[in-house]
Amino acid sequence: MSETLLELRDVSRVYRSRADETHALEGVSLQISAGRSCGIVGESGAGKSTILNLLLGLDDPTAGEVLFRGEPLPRRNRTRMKEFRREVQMVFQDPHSSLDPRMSVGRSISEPLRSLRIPGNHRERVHEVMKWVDLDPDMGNRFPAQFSGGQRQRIAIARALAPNPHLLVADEPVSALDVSVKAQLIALLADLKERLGLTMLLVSHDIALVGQLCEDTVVLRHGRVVESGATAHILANPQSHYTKELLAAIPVL
Amino acid sequence: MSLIVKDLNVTTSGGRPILRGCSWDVETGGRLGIIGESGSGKSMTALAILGLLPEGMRATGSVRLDGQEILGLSDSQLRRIRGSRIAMVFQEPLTALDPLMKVGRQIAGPLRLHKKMSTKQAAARVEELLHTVALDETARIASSFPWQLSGGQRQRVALAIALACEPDVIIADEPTTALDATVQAEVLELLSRLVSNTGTTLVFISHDLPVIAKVAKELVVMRHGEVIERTTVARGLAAPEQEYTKQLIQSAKVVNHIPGRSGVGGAGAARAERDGASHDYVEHDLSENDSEGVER
Repeated sequence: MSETLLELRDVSRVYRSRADETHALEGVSLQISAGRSCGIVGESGAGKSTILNLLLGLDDPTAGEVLFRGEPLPRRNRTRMKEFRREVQMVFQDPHSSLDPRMSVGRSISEPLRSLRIPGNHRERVHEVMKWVDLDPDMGNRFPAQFSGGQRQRIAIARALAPNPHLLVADEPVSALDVSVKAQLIALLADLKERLGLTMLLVSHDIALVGQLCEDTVVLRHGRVVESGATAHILANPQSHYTKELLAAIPVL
Repeated sequence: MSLIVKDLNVTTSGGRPILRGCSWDVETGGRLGIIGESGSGKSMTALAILGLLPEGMRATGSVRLDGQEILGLSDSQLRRIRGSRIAMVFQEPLTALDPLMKVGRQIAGPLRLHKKMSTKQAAARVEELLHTVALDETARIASSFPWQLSGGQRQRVALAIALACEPDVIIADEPTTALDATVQAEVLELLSRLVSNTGTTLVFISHDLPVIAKVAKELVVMRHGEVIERTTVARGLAAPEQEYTKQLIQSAKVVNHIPGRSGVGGAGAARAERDGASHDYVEHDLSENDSEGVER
């Protein structure tokens, strides 16, 4: 049994406004085990973004606990949160908005090294991670606008890998890409996971993507966990009606 | 009604070609799918047909709607065609719909404009149309603003607007791309049923080949502003002629593949496909697709 890296324990999150309450998450428990890959699947309104905010320490749950290596996430402790940031890195959906257009991609990739004050030769590290994502290190002095969408997403992945995180969190990492580029990025993520022994959390509306990349799957709907377990098991033998519906909705050639 | 596009060219004000010599046609009641990735010119094709190109862009060539040349018509002439004979459904209903106008009035818009219906006639037709697109709580929907509806409901409303004047042709540009998978499946089925029932000619534009395969019969493959293959969906999938079409099919299979399912073999086979076969393709494509992005 591998160590649990990040965990939600019976977590609820209620957004309150003057008029009403929105129960974004209700009694959600999930575990991300070290060295494994976990996918959270859900459609609009499932609570994917709320879960991400909680897991990344950007928000507090209304009830329940967020645990990192078995201890409550120290949201108010800046030093400890810095350690957390080093261990948990993020890739976002849209590489057009997640990269600073005025910063060379080399600088973008080394940015977490500077902000987390990680010692060492940053230049070398940038070269190394660029090679990991199949980008020519000589392109480090170019700007995001000079790259295609797929290349930009590779840059975003390189930036996330630069501080040598334990956990890579990817929020719809291929949803904004053309299908041929999407296929390449899926292969790249699968390869990196294997090569670097990364723990991965993938959040997506696409159950096929999660099926290809993740060992564990959590199906989320209307803020509740509908089904969770080993991906192979869920795909082969879905228990809930909703999971079956998701699988049936994938247009297949 | 048939739509014949012949040697369609679009250039920017700076003279850069966006579309180059595009030709295709679709017969009355036909269903044409246009597949292409970003920058292929598929959306520009739709805009050029409807005379909605961005400021400064110029279209040459010919677009014939049932024999009548419509490329280069004046704005007022085009207004009589748009929404009435050719209707459009866009990707994002939240931006296509007017946020300040109740949905009922938006659906009534084309009816009042083109069919000169009275308020009362239009209201009756709106109710009928809402039923047609399976929004059965007609009163509530009609008196809602777009933001009060879900994404799927909004796209059904957009579909109702497109259908309002019983157009001869519907051009749908990525109409389900912004929707959740389960909702996409419902909307595709609805669109498919509606065009069948009404005999409307359909031009369906998408980057998603499996989605096109669900609704279209004819297929046009676009790349870098050119039509590179014209075929039927069945033939295109079974025996694609162009290398690029083959790649699109292969990518779609890889991307939408569910391990352990759909006849490709068990999870082991899926893995082998990803690590072996698809990898070859991936490397091959890297040099083509990604490097071009840099040059541009």
